[in-house]
This record gives sequence, structure tokens and C-alpha cells, in this order.
Amino acid sequence: MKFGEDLLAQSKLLARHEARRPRQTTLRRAVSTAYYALFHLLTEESARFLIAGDAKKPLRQQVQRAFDHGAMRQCCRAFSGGALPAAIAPLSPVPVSPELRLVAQAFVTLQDARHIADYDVAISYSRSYAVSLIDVTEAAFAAWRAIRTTDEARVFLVSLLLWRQWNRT
Amino acid sequence: MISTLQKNATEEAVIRRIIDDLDLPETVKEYRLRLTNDSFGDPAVYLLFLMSDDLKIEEFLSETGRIRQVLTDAILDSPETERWPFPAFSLEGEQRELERKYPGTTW
Repeated sequence: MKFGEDLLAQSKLLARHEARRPRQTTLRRAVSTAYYALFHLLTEESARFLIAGDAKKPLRQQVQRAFDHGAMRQCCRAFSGGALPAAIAPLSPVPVSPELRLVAQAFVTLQDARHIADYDVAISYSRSYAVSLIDVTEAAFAAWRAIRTTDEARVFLVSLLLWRQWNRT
Repeated sequence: MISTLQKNATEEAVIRRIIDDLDLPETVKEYRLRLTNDSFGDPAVYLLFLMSDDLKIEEFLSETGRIRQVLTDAILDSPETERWPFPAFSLEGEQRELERKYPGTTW
């Protein structure tokens, strides 16, 4: 979880930077970094669950590079709504816990915010807007810590990587 | 075109009713709503809540965190809309200043 936590700390630093008049570029980087904090938290956790052990670090890092942002988004939308597809529903408790739902919702929210922050120059941000998104990230980290060893969390971690393959008709 | 506008008006009314039913605190000074597609092209509703400038940062975060969660769950659970909610929050004074400084580039 280290890299994700470092990114979260960095996004907080960015949001607090330039105390009087924050630059739009700084606030955009804060929002974008907050998304990547959660992205790396989840991909690191997933890869660590699938490929455990220090000796297998190179393989684990290779697995971590295989995650697809779009597939993760689809997975998180399904876990957010609580309606899982037939291939996955028997593997996970119903309903999805509030903590996991919060993590999944945060991922969808932050990914969209990152997209806007990085590409949509027609939008301007207030600092409080950026800070509230970082708070979403912190809440997701806390919720994840509470459930990370549960069975539903393990199904979620594998689903993040295999979403498209598991949902082929 | 007309049917799309009518559908959007109906969906907007549904979402406004969901929000009104949440009985938001008085620290919410105003909210704005935009029906559009998200960055992946899926139907979405973007919401901006302007919060009282009297809130301290801890109060702002706890208040907006609670509203975000309740609102997101309520819209996702509603059978009347399939739009994904993207609530955003800003302090009222900061938002007004932003709109003065960067006209036409905010909500």
C-alpha cells in the first residue's frame, strides 16, 4: 500500500500548496494524484494477493501493469450498484458491504475527476473542490483497510483484473 | 430532439426530488445540476453544492462526506434514473471568486 499512500500524501501537499492563490495547474495535479493514489492502492493489493512473496516481486510488478482503467471502472460501477453479474454474484456476499461500495464509488468518482482535471481545460477548480475529492480518497483508503482481508474484498481484487474476461458472453 | 429534452426534464425532476427528499442541511446554500455524459460517454448527472463559508475545514469535509454518500446511494438505488451521480462541493465564496476570476469556465 506504500506507493498509493505516498501518492495520497502528495495530493494533500499539492492541495495545500500556494496558500493564498492556488494555481489551477496545482489543483489539477492534486485531483489527478488522488485518483492514482487509489488506483495504485487497489492494483498493488490485487497483485500482492495474486502473487505473494518477496521473491516474486518482478512477476507481481508485471501483473500490476496489466490492469486496465476502463475495466476497473466497469467493475467498480457494478460493485457500487450492488448488482453483480451472474459469473461473479455467487462468489461475493449480497449485498455488497457499505465499505466496499464506498471504495468502488470513490474509484468511479475519482477516475472521472482525473479525466476532467487532465484533459478539460474549460473547467476551473476551487481549492475546496479539490480538498473534498482528496477526502473521498482518504475515506476510500480507510474503508479498504477495514475490509481488505474479507472474502468479498478478495473477489473484488481479482475482479478488477479479470472483469472483461469474466463478463464475456 | 424534443423527446430527448422531455426525457432529460423528467430525469432532472426525478433527481431534484431525490435531493429534496434528503433534507439537506442549511449549510448547503445552493446546488446546481447538469445532465450530460461522463468522461466515458455514459449518462451522468453532475452536481455542484455550494457550502456555507462559515464552515471550518473539518466541518466542510464531514458535512460534504456525509451528503456525498447519502446522495450517491440514493441516486444509484433509484429505479427512476440510470444516471451516475458525480457530486462536487465548493465553499460558496471560493466558487463565486472563481467565477469572477475565470468567467465561463466554471459551473
